[in-house]
Amino acid sequence: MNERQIDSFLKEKARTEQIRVSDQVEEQISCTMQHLPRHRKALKPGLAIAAVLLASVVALTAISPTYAENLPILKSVFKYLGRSGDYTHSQYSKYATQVNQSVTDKGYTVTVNEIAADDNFVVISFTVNSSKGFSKDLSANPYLFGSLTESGRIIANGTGRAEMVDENTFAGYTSYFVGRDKLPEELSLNYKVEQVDDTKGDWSFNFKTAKQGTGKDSKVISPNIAASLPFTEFKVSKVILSPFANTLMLNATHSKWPNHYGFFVLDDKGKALYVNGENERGRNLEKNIPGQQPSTEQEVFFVKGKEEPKELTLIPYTFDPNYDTKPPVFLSASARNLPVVFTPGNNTKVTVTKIESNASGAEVHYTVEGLYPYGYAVKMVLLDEKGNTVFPKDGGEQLIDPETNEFVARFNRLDSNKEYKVATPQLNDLEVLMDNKITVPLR
Amino acid sequence: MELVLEHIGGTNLDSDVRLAKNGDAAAFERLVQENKISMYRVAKGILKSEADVGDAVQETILKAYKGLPSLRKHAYFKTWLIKILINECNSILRRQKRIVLMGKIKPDNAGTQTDHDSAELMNAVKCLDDDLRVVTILFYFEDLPIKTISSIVNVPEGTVKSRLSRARVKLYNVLTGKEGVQNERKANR
Repeated sequence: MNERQIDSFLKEKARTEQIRVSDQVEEQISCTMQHLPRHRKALKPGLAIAAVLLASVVALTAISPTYAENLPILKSVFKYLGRSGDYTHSQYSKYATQVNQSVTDKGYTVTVNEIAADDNFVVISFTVNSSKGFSKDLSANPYLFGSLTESGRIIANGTGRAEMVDENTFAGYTSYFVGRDKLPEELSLNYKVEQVDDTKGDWSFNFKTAKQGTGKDSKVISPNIAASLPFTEFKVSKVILSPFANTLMLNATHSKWPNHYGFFVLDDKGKALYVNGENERGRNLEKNIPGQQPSTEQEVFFVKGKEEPKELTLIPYTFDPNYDTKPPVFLSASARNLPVVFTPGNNTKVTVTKIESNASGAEVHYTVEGLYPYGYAVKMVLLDEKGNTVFPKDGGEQLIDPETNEFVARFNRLDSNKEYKVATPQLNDLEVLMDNKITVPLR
Repeated sequence: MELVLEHIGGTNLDSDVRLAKNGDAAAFERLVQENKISMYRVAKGILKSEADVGDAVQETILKAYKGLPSLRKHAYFKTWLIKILINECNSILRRQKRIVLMGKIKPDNAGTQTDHDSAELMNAVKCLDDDLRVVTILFYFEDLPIKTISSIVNVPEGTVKSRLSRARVKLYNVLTGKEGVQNERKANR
């Protein structure tokens, strides 16, 4: 046997060998999970956005099991979930169409309350009711997010969140990125939940949706602009500006993988736009196959201001591949004299403009100017007198105003006997590849 | 071969990492559950006692949870997690070396089978030299490319290749009966 044959033999053996985590280690994992620090709480959903139009939704009958009476306990789930002023949910709510169809199985009633769609996302809001209550927290239960099929083909897997309304009710939403394929004007969609709590069942919904008028709110451009980075050739294949999201879609081939790079996105006035999400999929990443280069498809989600830019500028950056294993280094300052100005990177300024603290918690308002990379979920933290980090609740940051790049970080109630510093992570591991920037016209 | 980075093991990796980065414990738990077998196997490849393996995994989970906000590329979650784990395992080994110097000698149960891991290849891996075990597990069990392994264990790619070369023949010989497990262990000492 040669090396390659032995490798194949060993890998096949490894693939078929099962190993079970010992009870002792399982118990330690379980114990650790139950005692995670609780200073950070669930995320407000990620993709910030604009507005959409989905006109008519015709809910068809789900085949089985039995239908319950409609249980629209909340007039609008999107409004309920966005009650704290979340911009994204207000947009979903604004353009959603009521569905209010329910399916009951095994004592659980799942109701699809609303649906909204644009060229980037299909979003469904739902509620789950159980008269006997729930044994588990369903707030991030992936079974509820399901997959979305169109004409029998899975077009996207869902991501989302839910929150407890009362002991018998959860309300949530699930969203599906559909920007890779141009949606037809009329869609036949299936949303299916196969498990609620610990109970397997069948909660299946079929919809026909027709988009009307979305065109005036959406723009899909295929610039096909190619550019080079060290070790990577990439092409901007598509830009989708739509009410729910703004997406840059990139195709890349890599002569070296992994590649640690990202993009800053600037509008036509040179203002850096807030990048609030990334997706990446790839081929041949795990193998060195002669003649088959690693390649990836990437989506970069960003928030634009009210005015549509005439063009976008992409500035690539690379970062230290070992960055993630190093603890973050914070720049900190007393919060007594505002504004506090941080320069965490050569091209970046973070200014703390306002701090409010009361019995219910604290808010730190700040603006971000210049180039700030995606991936720092937390831009603003507090450090107590011992240097312990206090992370914001509710997702770390919330964009208040895309025009001014003003953010707010909300914290749980602080200890009035302690003095806290405001702090932001240093960005000195970045290399900005200004010479490799490209312009993407949007006209 | 296609690798879908954002969907590993049936969950949406990108989404879960994004949620977990912002403190969503349920999303973080899903990530831990997805990766616990890998963590367990790698830790078993480095550490000798089950208690140490548990401690390393436990500490890795805590460090990952605290450090997650600084994870930049969601697709590298697993690589990042294993890197933390290996650092933890090495810390435990360093502490044990100090303990040994003070006179406390722990029993060496490397190569013994337990109820939990009677797998043939994994047992053969335990018979390898310390420096070969991790790269072997990462290459054969976790199916990671040499470049990634090089980054995780912080040695040049050439060193990873030479270690794999040494491990390959020994494993094959042990598994095909050309070399006994006990003999191999002695040969490695």
